[in-house]
Amino acid sequence: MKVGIISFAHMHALAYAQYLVKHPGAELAGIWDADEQRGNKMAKQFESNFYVDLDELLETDIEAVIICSENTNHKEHVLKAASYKKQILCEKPIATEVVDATAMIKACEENDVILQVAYPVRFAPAIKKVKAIVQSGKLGEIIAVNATNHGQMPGGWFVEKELSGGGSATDHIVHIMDLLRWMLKDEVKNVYAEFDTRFYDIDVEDCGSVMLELESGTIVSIDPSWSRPETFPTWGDVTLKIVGTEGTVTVDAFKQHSILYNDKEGKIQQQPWAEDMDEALVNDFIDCVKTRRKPFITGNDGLRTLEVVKAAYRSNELKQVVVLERN
Amino acid sequence: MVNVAVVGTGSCNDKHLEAWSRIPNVNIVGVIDVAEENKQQLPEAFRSKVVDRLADLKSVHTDIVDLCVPANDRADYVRQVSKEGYHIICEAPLALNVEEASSVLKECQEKNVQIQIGHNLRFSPEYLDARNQVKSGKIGKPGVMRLASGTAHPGREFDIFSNLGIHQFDWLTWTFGDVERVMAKHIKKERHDGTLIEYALITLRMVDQTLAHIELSWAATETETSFELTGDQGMLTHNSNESYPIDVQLATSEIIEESILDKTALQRQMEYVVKSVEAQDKTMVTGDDALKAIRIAEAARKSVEIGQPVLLKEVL
Repeated sequence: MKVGIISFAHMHALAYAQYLVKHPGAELAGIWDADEQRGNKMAKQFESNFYVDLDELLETDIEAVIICSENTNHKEHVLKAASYKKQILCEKPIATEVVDATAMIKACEENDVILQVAYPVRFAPAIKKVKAIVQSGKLGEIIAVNATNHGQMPGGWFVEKELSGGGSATDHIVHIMDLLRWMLKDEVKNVYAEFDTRFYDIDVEDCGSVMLELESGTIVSIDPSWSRPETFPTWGDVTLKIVGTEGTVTVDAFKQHSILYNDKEGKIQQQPWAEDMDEALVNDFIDCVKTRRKPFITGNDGLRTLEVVKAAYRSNELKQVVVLERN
Repeated sequence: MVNVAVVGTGSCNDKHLEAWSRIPNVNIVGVIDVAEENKQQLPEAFRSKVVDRLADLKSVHTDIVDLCVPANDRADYVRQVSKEGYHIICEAPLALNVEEASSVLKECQEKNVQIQIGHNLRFSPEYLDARNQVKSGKIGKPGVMRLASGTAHPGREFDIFSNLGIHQFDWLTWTFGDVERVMAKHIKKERHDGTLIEYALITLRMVDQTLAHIELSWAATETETSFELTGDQGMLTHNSNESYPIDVQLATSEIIEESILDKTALQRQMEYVVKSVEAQDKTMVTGDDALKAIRIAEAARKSVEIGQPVLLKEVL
């Protein structure tokens, strides 16, 4: 199965490319990137072909594409790939505006192609285990969740609003929201959020606190801050504390690591040894395309999580709770 | 010598008596209101000190009265004791609302009585150190503060914001200044076996725009506190469970539960009170500070009720 990668703007493309190459049934057949230098470099690194013209890549016999362009370019690239009937794995967030997301979903439906959104955390072994615990009913009725998706400030286009659509709130809320919708089979009723730029001299928010109420009445808080210092031993975290009437479960998704006290670089570093979630995501996408099954992370999952992010921004402006409207 | 009388019953009383007796220049002159069934369990040394009423203290010189009484009765006891002119140490909160607390504080002031309200994080080494680190600029400009406090549910009569939250609120205002806005969510449910659980999430926006996130849990099975203080130049983290230095595994199920400190936060607080009474100094937790924490608890309850954020200045 031949797959193309559209843009290496998002660093996750590197992992996806690596696992495409590793997969016995897949081939990274072509790469397009607006940044020619980067595209050429990646084509060389992964022994693939670089296309200067995106249409030219899409005219080849590749079956699927993985889109890792800047957030605001997802729409254009998904619409184009769909028009060429290519199966699509799109980096999160699906888009930066709700209308864009709905247009993308519609286009993929009309062209009968898969639109899978890259929420790799669902594939983290610890997270899968926690989902099983929650859904076993052992914890009783779930009443509250205290979650974090922290990170270091990524810089680059992530802090340019016209390319990213927003800062840490755009980057991080969706991961937690996706996990909650998936684990709890619930939707968001209302949102309250406070955002600020307190860590870096940048034009987008770098921290905040989000509070939600789900339709079931479960209360949730999400900390999406780029608050990990430069000396933090890894890029960030995904943690959840899920409180039920009969028990509480806490999970630190990336706790399966060793600690390297690295004198050469003057750093203390987490060395993850868990089974890789990005690899599982890529393998799942390839399997979806090959077996023509519906992806279990859909464009709709991307849309629902984006709606929460947009409501959170509105709440931050109004300093009021915003009731969610679903499209 | 400083003479201390302890008012109250049960395990709180025992803990306090033990802590007082570790302080060299303190003399326990009275133990009051001890329920009959608890009297026999009092350590030998204190049994002879039991008196029935506050009035019985008049025969002995008393400097400080330590009130180990439930929050609902606290304000009444403070009024009684302040009338006698004794200095007071009591647990937080002083009262369940700002109005009651202000009136009690006013009475203490009129009687020239010093009152130390037990905001014990101010005397807990990890929280005191954290404040010093923040104040000396170690984390840089404050960003997002995450605090959590959890323990088993203490019983139906307690309020989670006033009893568990108050300490976090006090430490935050002590360290970062006043609060501008409060958003809170709260859930109270029964387990299958009928026992209660409660859980609250609070976002505070400080006047200096620092963000604080507080988790209060009465759904826990063991006591756990933690903080994560982030700023533009660093991060300071602590978790009580992860900093416990001893792990004993025995064939029997004996567990060491006490904190590994030569001096507990309670004893530190008592020593502080003794010192300030001796020096006739004003106490560390001023009435205004105590009111601030009570006001935040009130704002949190109001926010839960209306489902919207509450500006602190709109709370009485």
